[in-house]
Amino acid sequence: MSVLPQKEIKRRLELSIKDPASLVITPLLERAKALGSSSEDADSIDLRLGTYFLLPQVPPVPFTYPCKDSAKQSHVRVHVPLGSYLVVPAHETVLGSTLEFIKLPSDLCGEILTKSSVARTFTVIETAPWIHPFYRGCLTLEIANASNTPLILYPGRYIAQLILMTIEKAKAREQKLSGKYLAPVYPEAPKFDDPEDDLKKIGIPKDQIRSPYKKSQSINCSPPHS
Amino acid sequence: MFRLCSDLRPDYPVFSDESRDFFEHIQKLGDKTLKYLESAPNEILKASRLSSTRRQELLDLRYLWESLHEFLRPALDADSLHLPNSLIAALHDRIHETEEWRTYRFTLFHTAEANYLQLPLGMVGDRANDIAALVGAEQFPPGLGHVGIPYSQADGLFLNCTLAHEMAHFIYQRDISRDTENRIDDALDRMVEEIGSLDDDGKSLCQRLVGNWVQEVFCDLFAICLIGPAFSFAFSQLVSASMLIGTPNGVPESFYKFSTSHPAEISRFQYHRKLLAKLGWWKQVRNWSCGPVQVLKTCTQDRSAFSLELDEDLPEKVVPVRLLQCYDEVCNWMIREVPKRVKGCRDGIATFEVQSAVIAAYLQRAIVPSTIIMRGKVIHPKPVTVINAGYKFLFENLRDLLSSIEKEKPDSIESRSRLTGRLELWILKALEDHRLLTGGTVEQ
Repeated sequence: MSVLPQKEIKRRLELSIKDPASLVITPLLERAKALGSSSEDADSIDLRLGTYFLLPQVPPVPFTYPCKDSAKQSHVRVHVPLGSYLVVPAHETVLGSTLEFIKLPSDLCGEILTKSSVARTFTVIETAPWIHPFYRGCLTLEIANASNTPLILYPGRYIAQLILMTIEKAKAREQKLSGKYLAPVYPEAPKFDDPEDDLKKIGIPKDQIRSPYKKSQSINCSPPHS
Repeated sequence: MFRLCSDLRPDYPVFSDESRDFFEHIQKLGDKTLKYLESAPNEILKASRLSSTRRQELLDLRYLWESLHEFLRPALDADSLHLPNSLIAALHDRIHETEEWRTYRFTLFHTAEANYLQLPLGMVGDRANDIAALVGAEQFPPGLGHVGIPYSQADGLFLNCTLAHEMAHFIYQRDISRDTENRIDDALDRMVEEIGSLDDDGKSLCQRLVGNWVQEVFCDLFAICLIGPAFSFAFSQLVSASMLIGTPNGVPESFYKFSTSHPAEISRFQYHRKLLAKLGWWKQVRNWSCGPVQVLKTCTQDRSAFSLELDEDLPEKVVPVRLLQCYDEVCNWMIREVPKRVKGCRDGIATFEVQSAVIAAYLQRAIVPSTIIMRGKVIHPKPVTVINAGYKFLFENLRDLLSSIEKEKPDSIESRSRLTGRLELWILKALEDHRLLTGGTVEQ
C-alpha cells in the first residue's frame, strides 16, 4: 500500500467517469490550494466542513442502545449555512460531514485526518477514519471538542485532510454498490441491526440476550450494601 | 399577537433571506402597532372627538392582523431544513436572469394542502401596507411574493419543480396581466360581434373565466421556459396524469373539464407540448419511454371532449366551444410571447443534449454530478441541465441503478421510492455545489 502522489490524484480526477480508475471530489473549491500547493501537503487533499449536522440527543433512557430504531431517535438535524457557525460546547460531540462528495475507485482506499492546525485546538474529527475502496458520498465526521472551551465551527472552512492509498495488486473495476449508507450527502445517523439479529449469526439464542430495558436481566453494577 | 410578532427572532432555525425579510417586516409592523396601541388611550383623551375614528382604526387593525396572522406560522415552519433550498435558489437565479424581474423574491410557506399555491398579489402586502398606513410603519417589500409548498414535500426535488409555476403567478399578476387582459378583451369582442350582444355581467364572467384559464397556462409556459420539460413532468405527476394513458375504460372525464379557476389538464398538456416543440426541447424528450412523455403525446390527439364545469352559468348566448376559442387565441399568442420575455429559455437545451448522458453515467454510479469530466474537460452542469437529466434518469435508468446495488430488488416499489429520494438528494446537492463552483450567491 502506498500513498497516492498529487500528480496521480490530479490525473485520476480528470478521467472519464466510465473509467473504473476515476476519482471524484466535488465541489473542489480553490482547486490548487485544496490539492496542496505547498510541498508538505502535496500528497493529500484538504476537505471542508459541510453545512448540515446531527446533534446527539439526550436519550430518554440513561444509555445509548444501538438497535434498528436508534437512527430515528438519536439525533437532531441542524443546518448551518455558509457564513454562520456552530458552537460545539466543551467535551461535546456532533456528527458533521465534508462539503465535498467523494468517489473512490476500487483500487484506492483512504484515510481522513484532522487538519493539523484544527487538531491543535483539540478538535477530533474522526474516530472511524478509514475509507474503503469504492466508497462514495460526503464523508461523515464524528466531531468531538476535546478541549475545555466551546469551539466555533464555520461550515466551508478546511477541517480535514484526505490521504489516498493504492492497494497492492488491486485493479480498478466496477462493482456493486453497498446499500447501507448509499452515497450520503449529509451526515446520517448510525444504522444498526438489533443485537438479537447480530448475535444470532454467531449462535447466541435470543433468550440469552439481556435487554437493557428489562431490569431483571441487567447486570447489577451498583456497589453492594454495606 | 402583536407582542409575538414584535418579538420574532428568526436566528434559528435558519431561514432564507426572503423569509427573513418577511419576518423582519412583520416584526417592525408589530413594534409600530404596539406603540400605536400604547399611545391610543392618551390620544383619545386629548381629542375625544377622534374617539369614533380611533375605534374604527382599532377594529381595522384587529381585522388586518387577524388576516396576517394566518400566514406567519406556515412561513416560520418553512425553515431551511424543511425546504428544497438549492432548487429554490436555482429558480430565483433563473428568474433574475431577466432584468425586469431581478428584484422579485419569494418567501416559501408550508401548506396543509397536498398542493402548491401562490398567495395572490396583495393578499399579504396590501394588508401589511394597510396596517403600516394606520400605525406609521414602512411599506411592504414590493417584489416579495409568497408561495406555498405542501409540508410533506419539504426536501424533495422532482414534484417541487411545480414551484416555478407558482412563482410565475406573482410575475403574471404584477407584469403580464395587463397585456393579457387586452388580448382577452379583443378575443371576447370578436366573439360578441358574432353573437350580437352580451350584457356587462355576461362579459365580465367571460373575462374572468378566460382570464383565470389563461393565467394558469401562462404560468405553465413560464415554468417551462424557466426549467424546461421538468415542469411538465412534475405537473404530470402532481395531477396523476398517468391515468390518461393505458386505462382500459377510457380517460377520466375530469381531465377534460374546465373549471371556473383552471383549464382542463389535457388542454394544459397540449400547450406544454407546443412550447416544448417551439423551444427545441421536444426533440430531446420525445423518445423517452415514460408516462409523462406518453401523456404529452396522447394529449395532442383530442380537443373535442372539452366541457365546462363552472360555479356560475354561462350566458345563454355564449357557446362553450366559442369561449374556448377565445382562450385558445390568447394561449397561442402567449406561446409566441412568453419565450420572448423569459431570458435564457433555450440555454439549457444544447448543454442537456451533450451532457445528459454523462450526468446519467454519474448518477448510475451514485455520484453527485456537480463536476463532470467530458473529453478531459472539467464541467459544472447548469441547474436546468442537471434537473432535466435527473428526470430522464428517474424515468429510464432508476431500475438499472437498483440492479447495481447489493440486496436491492429492482421491482420493489419500496426500494424504488427510497432510491428516488436518494436521487433527489444528489441532484439537490449538485444544484447547491453549482452555486459554489460558479461563484453564485452563497446558499441561504
